[in-house]
Amino acid sequence: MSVSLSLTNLFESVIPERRKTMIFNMPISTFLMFLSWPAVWIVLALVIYRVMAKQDALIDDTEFTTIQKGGGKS
Amino acid sequence: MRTTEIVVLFIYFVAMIGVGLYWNKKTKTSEDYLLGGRSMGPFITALTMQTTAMSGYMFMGGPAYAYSIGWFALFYAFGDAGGGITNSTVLSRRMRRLSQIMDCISPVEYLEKRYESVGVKVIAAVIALFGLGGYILAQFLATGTTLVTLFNFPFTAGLIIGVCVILFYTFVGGYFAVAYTDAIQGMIMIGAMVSILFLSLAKVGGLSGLNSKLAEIDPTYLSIWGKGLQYENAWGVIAGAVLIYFIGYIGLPHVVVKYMALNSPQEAKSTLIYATLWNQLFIFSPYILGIIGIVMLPGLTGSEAEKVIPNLAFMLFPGAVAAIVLTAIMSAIMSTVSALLMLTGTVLSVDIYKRWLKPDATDKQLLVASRAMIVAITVIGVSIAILQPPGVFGLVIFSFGVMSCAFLPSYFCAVYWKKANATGSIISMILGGGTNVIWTACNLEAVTFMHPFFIGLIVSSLAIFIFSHFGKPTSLEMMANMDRAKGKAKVAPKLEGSMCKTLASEGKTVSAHLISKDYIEQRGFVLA
Repeated sequence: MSVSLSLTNLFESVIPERRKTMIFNMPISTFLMFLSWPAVWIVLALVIYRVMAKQDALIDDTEFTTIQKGGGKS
Repeated sequence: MRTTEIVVLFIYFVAMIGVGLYWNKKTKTSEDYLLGGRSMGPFITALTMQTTAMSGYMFMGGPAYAYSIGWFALFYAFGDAGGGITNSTVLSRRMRRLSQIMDCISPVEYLEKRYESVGVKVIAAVIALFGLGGYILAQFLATGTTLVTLFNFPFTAGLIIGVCVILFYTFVGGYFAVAYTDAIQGMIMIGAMVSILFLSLAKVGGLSGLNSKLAEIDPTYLSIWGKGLQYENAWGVIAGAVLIYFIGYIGLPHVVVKYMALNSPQEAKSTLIYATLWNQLFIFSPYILGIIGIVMLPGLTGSEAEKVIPNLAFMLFPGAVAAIVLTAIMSAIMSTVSALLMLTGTVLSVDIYKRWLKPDATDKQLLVASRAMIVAITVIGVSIAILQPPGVFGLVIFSFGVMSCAFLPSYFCAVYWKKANATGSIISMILGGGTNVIWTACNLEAVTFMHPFFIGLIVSSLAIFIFSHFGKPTSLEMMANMDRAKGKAKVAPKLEGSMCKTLASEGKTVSAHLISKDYIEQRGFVLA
């Protein structure tokens, strides 16, 4: 119950009399919950890319690399 | 009939057929036909993976849902937008290596060989064919319906023309044609979606204008809990909505097969970037357009709400540009259908025809069988779709959930958990898929506020974990294969250099000894 209540407080409801902080005329909770994600995913993808690049640098994948037959590679 | 739209659609169809014909010349072996010769680069892989995952639902069902519930619909979008990260990282590299080590070209064959069990293959093939069959049928109906509603074609004619174009390029060009047409279709989809979003937002006064108009209609549209706060604190539903598209794709055979076709495991990281960028540009847009529809197109009911995007396109663009937007909707459907046909043909030809009916089939016979299977599935699917059975559209989400819950733990554990065995995999597939079926059929989501995908995934994950402790353990050979699939460590350059130096000096000494006079005399050779 306490968890449920605290989450409710965190993502407060938007009935006009209860709302406090607005951004683009929408509650900040709604904005952060939905529209902040593209930035989050792009940053996360870049971080993971760097991690994968480091891992790949230590791995020899020559036996798993297909020799191009002309056209497959983009 | 709308002439401009039909002309644009005709040009688009001809272009897709042209791609099929071009790749027909490059397709020589069954591996080329079914897996693109494992030579796909990161850009093509990213686009084919994401466009396959996005069906016509994104242009019609997604906006309609947002139209009915407001910003809450974006819970589906944000999990989906992160799905490109999961798709490109979790399984991709290890599955690419393991599939080559075990010499598999079908995702069902892959499960059979990894879990070393024919039972796994039978269960996996049954679930895959059931799921893919439902998916294909729904997409065929979507093809016909889209051509009826957007281009005023008669249903049967629209269905047959649309499906014949897809069949043609899939049949002649195989995986190459499917992947490259997907990439073109992905570019059309994103161009159409982004342009219509920007123009629509400008029309309603930007994001601020949109939200203030929504608040005037009903302030709860702005809530994270949905219109009328109907999902307040329903975290089980929210978790399912986010997870189904965030991790669900790695359980879909027609998506995981893309990893097997990668040119190299090292391409996965670039695939990640392309897929993520494409997702951020594409996935949020249809839902936001649905919300814009509440303001710009009030009073739509039922299936009318599915036409929010076409209606906005006709409002905002001149005829030819609006026609391109409509073509984008066809692109979304066609990219999914071609991948589904391709995979179903693969399962039938590799996992049934070659495995049981003709084990000694040559590569050419397998190629012919694959093409014959694709034609057969299309004929059966079109014959059923013409009858327009009710409730088929619901099959998309249903099939997605069933396949995902059934396969996800098995694909994941195949590369990450050596102890996972056939017993665990079989029971996990049956219980995971079964739970999803029961939960959906009995509408238990409404009672328990738990999404069927969420429950199905918990059950199938627990099942593979518990039941893998019983039955035949994974063989030592397979464990060694899994170790190889992690990737072979490179020898450090310094160490390699010093090893070369040592070997070179040793080689010199040996050579000198071999040509020394003493050695030659000892062996009784005579110098010329």
